[in-house]
Amino acid sequence: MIHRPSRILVLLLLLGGSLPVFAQNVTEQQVKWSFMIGLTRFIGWPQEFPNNTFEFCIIGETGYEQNHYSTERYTVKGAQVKKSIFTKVLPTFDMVQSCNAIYFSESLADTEINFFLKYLRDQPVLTISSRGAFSRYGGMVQFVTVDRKLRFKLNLESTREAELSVHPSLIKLALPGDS
Amino acid sequence: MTRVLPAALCRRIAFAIFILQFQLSNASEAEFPDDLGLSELEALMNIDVVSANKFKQSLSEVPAAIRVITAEDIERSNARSIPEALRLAPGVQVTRLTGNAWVVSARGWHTHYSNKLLVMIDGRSIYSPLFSGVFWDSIDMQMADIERIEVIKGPGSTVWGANAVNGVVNIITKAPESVLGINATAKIDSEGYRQLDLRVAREFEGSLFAKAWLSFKQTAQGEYPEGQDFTDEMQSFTIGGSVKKLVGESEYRLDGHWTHQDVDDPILVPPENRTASNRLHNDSGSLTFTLQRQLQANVGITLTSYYAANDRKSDAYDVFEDLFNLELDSEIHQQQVRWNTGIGFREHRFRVVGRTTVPLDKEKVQAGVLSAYGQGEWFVSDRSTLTGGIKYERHSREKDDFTGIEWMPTLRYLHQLDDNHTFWASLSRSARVPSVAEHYGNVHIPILEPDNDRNPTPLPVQPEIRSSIGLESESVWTYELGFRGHIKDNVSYDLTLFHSQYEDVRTSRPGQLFCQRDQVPFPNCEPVGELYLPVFFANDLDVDTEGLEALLRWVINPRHSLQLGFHYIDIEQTITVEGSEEDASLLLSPEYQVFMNYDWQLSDSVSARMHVRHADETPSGQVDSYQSIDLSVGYNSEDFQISIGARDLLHDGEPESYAEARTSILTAVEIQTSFYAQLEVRF
Repeated sequence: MIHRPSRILVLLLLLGGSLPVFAQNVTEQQVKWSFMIGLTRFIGWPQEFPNNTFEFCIIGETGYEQNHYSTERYTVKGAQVKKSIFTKVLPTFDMVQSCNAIYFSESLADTEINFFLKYLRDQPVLTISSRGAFSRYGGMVQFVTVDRKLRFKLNLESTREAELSVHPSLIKLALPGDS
Repeated sequence: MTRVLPAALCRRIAFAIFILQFQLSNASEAEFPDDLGLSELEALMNIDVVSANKFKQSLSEVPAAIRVITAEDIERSNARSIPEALRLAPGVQVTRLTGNAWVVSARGWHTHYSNKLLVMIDGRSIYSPLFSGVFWDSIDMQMADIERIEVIKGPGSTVWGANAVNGVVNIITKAPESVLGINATAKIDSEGYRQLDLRVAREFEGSLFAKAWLSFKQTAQGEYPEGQDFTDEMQSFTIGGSVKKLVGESEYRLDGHWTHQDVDDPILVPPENRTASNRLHNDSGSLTFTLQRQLQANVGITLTSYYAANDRKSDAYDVFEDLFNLELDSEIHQQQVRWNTGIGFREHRFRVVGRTTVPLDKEKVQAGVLSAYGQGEWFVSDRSTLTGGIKYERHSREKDDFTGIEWMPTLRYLHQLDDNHTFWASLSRSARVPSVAEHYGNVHIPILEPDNDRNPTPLPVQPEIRSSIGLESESVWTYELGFRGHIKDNVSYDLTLFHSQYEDVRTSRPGQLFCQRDQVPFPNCEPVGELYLPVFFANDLDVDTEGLEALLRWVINPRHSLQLGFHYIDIEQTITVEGSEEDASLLLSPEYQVFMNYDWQLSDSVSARMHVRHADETPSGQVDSYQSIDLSVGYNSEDFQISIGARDLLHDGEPESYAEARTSILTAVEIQTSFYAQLEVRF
């Protein structure tokens, strides 16, 4: 039981104690990672996950390709979370077919993101990005930073089209969306 | 400033972390957790975050020497113009020529008339076939409105077309929906620089977004060497706007701008008066329409059409240039392959009138380009990509004067060695089509004084460049090898080795000296005052260049980071026809240049940057090696940002470059230290 944790201790816990470089401050990147993994618990997928594996895909350079952003400890509805990264080359649609959730890097061009969003529109894949106007273009979860705090927008029209269910409590936490 | 978290919040965060890291591994049987589980997410939403340094890259162009200069890079460097921002790309040489004119080149060939770099703004080419270059002084953009600048070094012709010989600079502005609100910026410096920018962006009913902006900029008189009474003041006013509409599967965008400038230009001065500046009045504008449409889930098309006009009126010449461009590009995703194809049509019109001379053989010239390209990107394996493509271009001038057909192929291979390291290799061909001035130009260049190496006669010689309609395209084959990746978690590197073989490079071939009065060759004539020397352009030079470009980034910790850039180039020129002269622009490219950026985040709101650069002496001997330091400190809050800083500290006051090597156009501003302040307010 942690009674009076120091800030450093909190952060070390957050980072799994494996990130000496960032040990003094929590970065947006780190908080987003924990948040993304956490919010998958509030989403319902219409299908079972094949091989009991939940595939969390990352497209573009985000920093999450590094090994310390591990998914070994995480499960979603009992399925082991597996991280798939497409950092060096832009994947084809076939390559992302098995993804259950995709995080799009901010470094991608709008056209590149739109291309995937249009393809994925009616497929049960949770789409997440920090890119501006992501939810307006049909992305489901868009991170924004307000007063240096992490916030997010939900596009419920997109989740509905993709037959993903969203827990009402998560909707309450979200900023007003674009749907 | 970092705040200390209250104990209660700390407990809550610790709980959240505990849950996320360990408890999440326990499978939950229920479809959703109960409401209490939300506290983990709420706790995360209460943490103050700082932005991490990101290694941003555009993935689609990775098997190339690409450097993406982000909005954050531009903000931290306090760059006032595109050339200043381009200093952050190794392999790009940027020097200041006057208060408002810059010389920008990639991989050597550094001259005011630099002709091997293609520059685009939101897909609109600003490369002028009049002189195969860019009027850098007439670009008046709001730096805060730039999303990123992609600098692709090496040939980029398969996608962008001829003239992308040594590189492409792709400037991408922020979409209206990403900058909603009002943004005002004011900049001043101790040299008399003043700038005021205003931008308003709004969202309207029905997925319609619009932004409008205006800028006013003024530069003051620079210092020139003793005895040179040049002035280089400039006033520039720009107004622009952008509208974007989303309709179903389509995205429509309309962009436009108009710039008016009054400029004192000490470079392009009238031949009869080389001691006073040329007064220029520039008007330039553009209108661009873009339609992006998703035809099927895996097929997208983009239609781009633009009209641009540039009217430069001066004491010496009136130059009017306009162009119309139409192109259709498509992108198709298939099993393991991505296809990009496109067709295009462009027509340029030029009208050049001299006040005292006839600068072009024809007062009006038309130049057209038809093009088509195809490129495939094969995902050979999870770790390898092979890209192959070819572009066809047909250039024509005035119906039958010139027809140039160019085939520009590329082959690129990328292999991910492991999770942290990538290797790529490429082979590509590009070409530079002769400029209108090279084909039709008929101008006097500065007089050669008597009794020296360049003019051994006892009389002054007036060289006259004569129209060279037979001039052919220059071409280049470039071989590149690249390595990039991460060493540990916090160090990234990007290294490119290149070798380029240029053929049929333009040279000037002096003709027979003659006396103007009786048009008889010297010495069989009686000269009055000066002799005349006709000079023709020819393709009599082969050039080999090889070099290295490197960028290293080290995120020491979230508060301190370092970037080191280095480039080296070795140039060898071989004259293929005796009597021709080697390319002087290669003599203004130093063998190596280095820069360093040191960023220090003093607190959540206060950041500082030190930019240091060093350039070796030029082979022409005109510019000695120099070093310079820029310092800046900025305070950034939600509503405003304020920066103060110093530019060109340690600079020895000498010019950084000259318009041309070895000619008597030797005017260049003496670089002085300046201090500046900048305020940006956001509503």
